Amino acid sequence: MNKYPKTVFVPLILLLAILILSFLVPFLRGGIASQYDLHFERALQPPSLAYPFGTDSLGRDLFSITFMAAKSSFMVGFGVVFLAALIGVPIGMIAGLKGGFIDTVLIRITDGFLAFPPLILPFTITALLGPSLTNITIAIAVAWFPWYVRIVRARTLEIRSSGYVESAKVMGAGWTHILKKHIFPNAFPAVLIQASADIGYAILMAAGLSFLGLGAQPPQLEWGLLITQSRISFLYSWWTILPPGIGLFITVVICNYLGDSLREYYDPRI
Amino acid sequence: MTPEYDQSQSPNILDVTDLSVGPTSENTVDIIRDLNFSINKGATFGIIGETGCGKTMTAKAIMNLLPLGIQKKTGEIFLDGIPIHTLPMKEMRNILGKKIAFIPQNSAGALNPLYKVGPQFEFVLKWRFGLQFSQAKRTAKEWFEKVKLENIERIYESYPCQLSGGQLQRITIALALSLEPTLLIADEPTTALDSITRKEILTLLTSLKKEYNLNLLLITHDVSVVQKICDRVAVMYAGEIVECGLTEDLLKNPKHPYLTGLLNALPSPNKKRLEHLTGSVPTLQLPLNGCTFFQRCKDKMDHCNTNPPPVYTTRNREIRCFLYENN
Repeated sequence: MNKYPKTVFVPLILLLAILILSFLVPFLRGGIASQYDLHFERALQPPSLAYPFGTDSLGRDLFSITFMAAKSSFMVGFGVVFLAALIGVPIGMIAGLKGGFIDTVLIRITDGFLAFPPLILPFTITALLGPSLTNITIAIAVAWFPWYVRIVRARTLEIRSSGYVESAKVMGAGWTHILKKHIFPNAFPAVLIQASADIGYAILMAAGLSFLGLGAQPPQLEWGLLITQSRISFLYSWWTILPPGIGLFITVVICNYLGDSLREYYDPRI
Repeated sequence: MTPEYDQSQSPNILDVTDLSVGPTSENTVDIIRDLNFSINKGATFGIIGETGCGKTMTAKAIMNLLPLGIQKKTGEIFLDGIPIHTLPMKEMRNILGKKIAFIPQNSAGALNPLYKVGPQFEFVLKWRFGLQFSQAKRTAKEWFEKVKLENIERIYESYPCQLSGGQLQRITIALALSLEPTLLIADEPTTALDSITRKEILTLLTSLKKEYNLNLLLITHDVSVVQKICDRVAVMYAGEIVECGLTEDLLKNPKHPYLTGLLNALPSPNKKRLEHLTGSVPTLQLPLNGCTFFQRCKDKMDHCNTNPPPVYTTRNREIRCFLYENN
């Protein structure tokens, strides 16, 4: 438990590096606030030494704003996973532990959320709450928490009938003790694996919603939004769409890799 | 050692009367029917029977921890004079782990795989006796010594998956004993072990039993285990006690056809052929009218299939069979 392998550390360090760069790069290139300034006189310049990634149609330095956009994407990614786990884990544990009627009711309700096609529910929720980064975080979390309920419930059912829970019951342990000491610690790796892989997908989903205008609003910086803004110009200035696209790609791949290596670490059978 | 069924004086640690346990739905036969037994102070009582005859259910019924969908229908259980069958779950939790301790069948699964063995042991001691950290650690190590574990320092810092079945069984025994229970229930404590380890564990249990004057309820399907440590033994068949008496007497002089057949089926060097019981245990889906052993009995009579036999008591022996109607 105390020694994580390299395969877990490398993606973690890479993610951390991207996060640090998202603060460092704009800071080194003229300060964070000035990155939002518009300079139409230098719009759509191809990559050069001064502007390694070129400039977009508003004259912003793509090198800096691509890294700055990582920050909000990360916020959405971690926010979604945190919220989804926060809702899903307790419901899953209660459903698995109590069983019977309570289980049926809780599982049917969460299954109801899964009945919607994956994009429709976030659409509806952001339409109700209004488009913003915070709101899409909530919207995606609401659409995704059923997966956490299912994972945690399945693990709880397994742990509930294990020898050590029985031993705890035989010693007169109450439900809160069993939840705290046995079920949560043993179910946590499964949640961690799902969460680490989900961060990437959440970032992708948020970028998709931002692309459609439901997420980040200008002048906020977010990869999906940057892709939207380059939509008109990229046919004749290719460099405008590549940086946010590649940023998304790399982050999602790293998150997937992290999820995979965590799973391999906790569950080496497969 | 003579059994006395007098609750007012309460010479017994455990008295179970008319215990019936069955599924909550009405249409099926109860898993356990009309169970009566008691355990004297300082005695070891064995319950022996084949798989699915209700041995473990009896233990669970005593501890009020029956699985979902199964409930106690009738019966009174007195633990040291306390009517524990009337207690609600909240008060039962104060009994469990303090007055009743349990040695589980599968010791490998009985410890949480995420915590080291020693700290897990400490936690129980802290909870049970309110010990301080250093005290708990010392007591835990003392218990590890008492169950004759070697390499205590290493075992103390090991996770359950790093230990062998015998070591884990010793730890669960130590854990159960460290609670200083009034009644210790051991559910097939040697089943998961190989025969050498089994012998060691049995020797250990026997010596600990003498040392701490344990009141032990031992559940097993192994006649040799019963022979070694039990003072009295009850033979269960299909949810009923068919014969109950002093171990030595019972094994030397079996009376119920089931027990006779069972003991005849044991291999021994001077037997050329093994005798066997034909048939199998009745399924409990159809209602039983007569004796549960009727299908397989060699000495069956006409009325055995229609009337359930009552319990006949002869000297120190209770037998559920019409053959002993007139004794």
